[in-house]
Amino acid sequence: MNRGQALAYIMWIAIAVYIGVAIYVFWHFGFTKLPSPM
Amino acid sequence: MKKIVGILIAFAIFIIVLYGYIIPLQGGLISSTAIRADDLSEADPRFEEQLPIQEVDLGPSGRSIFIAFVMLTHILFANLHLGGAWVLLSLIILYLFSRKERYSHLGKSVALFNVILFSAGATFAAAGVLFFISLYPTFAAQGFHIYWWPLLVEATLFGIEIFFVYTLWFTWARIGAIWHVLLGVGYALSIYFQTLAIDTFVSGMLTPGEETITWGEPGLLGMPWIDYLQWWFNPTLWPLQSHRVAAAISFFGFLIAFLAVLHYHDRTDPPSRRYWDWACSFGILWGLAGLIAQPLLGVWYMYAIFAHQHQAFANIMTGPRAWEMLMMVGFISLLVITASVYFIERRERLLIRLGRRDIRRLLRIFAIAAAVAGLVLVQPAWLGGIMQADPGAWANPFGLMYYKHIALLVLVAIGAIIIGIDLLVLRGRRDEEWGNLSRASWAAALITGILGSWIVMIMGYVRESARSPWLFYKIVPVPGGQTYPTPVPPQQILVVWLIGLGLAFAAFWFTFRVTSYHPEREEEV
Repeated sequence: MNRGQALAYIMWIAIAVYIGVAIYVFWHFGFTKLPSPM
Repeated sequence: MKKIVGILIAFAIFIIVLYGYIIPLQGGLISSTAIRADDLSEADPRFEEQLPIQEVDLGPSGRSIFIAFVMLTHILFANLHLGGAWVLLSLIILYLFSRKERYSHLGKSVALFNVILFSAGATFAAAGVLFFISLYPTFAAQGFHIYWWPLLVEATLFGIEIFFVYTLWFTWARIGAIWHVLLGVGYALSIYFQTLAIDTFVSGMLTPGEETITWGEPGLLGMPWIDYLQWWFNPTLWPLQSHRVAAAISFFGFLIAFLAVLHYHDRTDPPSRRYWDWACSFGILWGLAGLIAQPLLGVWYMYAIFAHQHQAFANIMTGPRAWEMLMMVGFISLLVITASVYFIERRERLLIRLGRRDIRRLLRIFAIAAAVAGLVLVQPAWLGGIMQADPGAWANPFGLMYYKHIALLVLVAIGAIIIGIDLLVLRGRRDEEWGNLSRASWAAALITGILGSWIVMIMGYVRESARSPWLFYKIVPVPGGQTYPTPVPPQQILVVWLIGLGLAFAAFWFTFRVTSYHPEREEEV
């Protein structure tokens, strides 16, 4: 694996982590703390 | 072009349904001054206006219209720095690592663009201060007094900010790499802290740090230090600041794309077309990156408002201003859809050549998924009542907030994966294709530029509406009572947005024409 490929893998992991953080944030605030307007 | 026509039709239908159907049926035409009349009657007489109301001959909401116009337009110019500074820093760093001239050329153009338009942003800011003092003297006296120290910091940082960006442009390519980076970092940090200073004030209007304003003795501090800290570092300061930075980066990225495709259109030589095609793609990627950060920061911000100013949260989420949130998420959806269409169209030729049918298919799925998410997001939660909880209000089973959280997550994931595909999978291959921008991609970039700017103005209006009919929530009312209702009504704010956008975009384009670099014919991009 060359340097460019390693960087690409790291960035994909970063994107996956970001989506994971998004899921957590929406779960934490959206589903458990903020009321449902219904 | 069918996809672009579809986006424009969807946009038109959305605005017509919102203004013709949802706003009237959610009480959006009724002022918060009328709805919160009982609360207003309990306002402390110390904070009622002592001077005669200064009218501006634009009807009962005239003063609010003045403030909305000057401050929302100011935000567009201020965001050139708040977002543009980080994009500029990225260009400097990319140039230092890659030594590709296009990064340097675009960086220098952006620096000069921001230097020239600095005065426009500062002029609108100064006009805003003047209007606040003239039209809301009691509020101005209290507010500018509480925030004297942050405002002093802000004023000082005006000078530091222009020093950094002007020096950066003036010395471009004439100083060492480390100095470029230092000036770029200094510029980005100075505007970041300048925005933080003004955000202490802006956020404090919505979530004041104290229940009332209590002054102490004359001196350097007009009230105890701990009280100042409560006012300045109030509960919504950091969510607002973070959300603003992300929104400004998104705005600036999409604006670069908008301006780049205009140059793509007016230049005929291939090197220039390759350069502006690349600049458009660069801008859209930044725009998308800033965009996918906003829902996360937005839900944090919403929670801070919910926890500390519940009535304001009700105004904008389950009350008569909820249509503004629908408009905002509708625009976010349209931005993700349009960005998807841009990449579908822009990369099609390359993907066919590379035999990557899987990516082509995935991008199409993303566009459809974003459209479905958008349909979920623009569902009104209820109709037929000012508040969702009103007896007789019809609850929309598709307007459940949980569905909307999932839809926002889908948009975030789509945006993040598109960035990944374009930057990582197609890395190194995109350079073979510059200069072949399709008409659909060209139009998509124009749409993102307009929507990316418009949404910034909507966000500012949402915050103002959430606060109405107060200037400092539940402390200082908008003076004049029922004779001068707030917020600015939906039709009038639409006109304000369009005038502000038209004015700002004219300034952006005419300035960009002067500051842009166009490659020479023999030069490779």
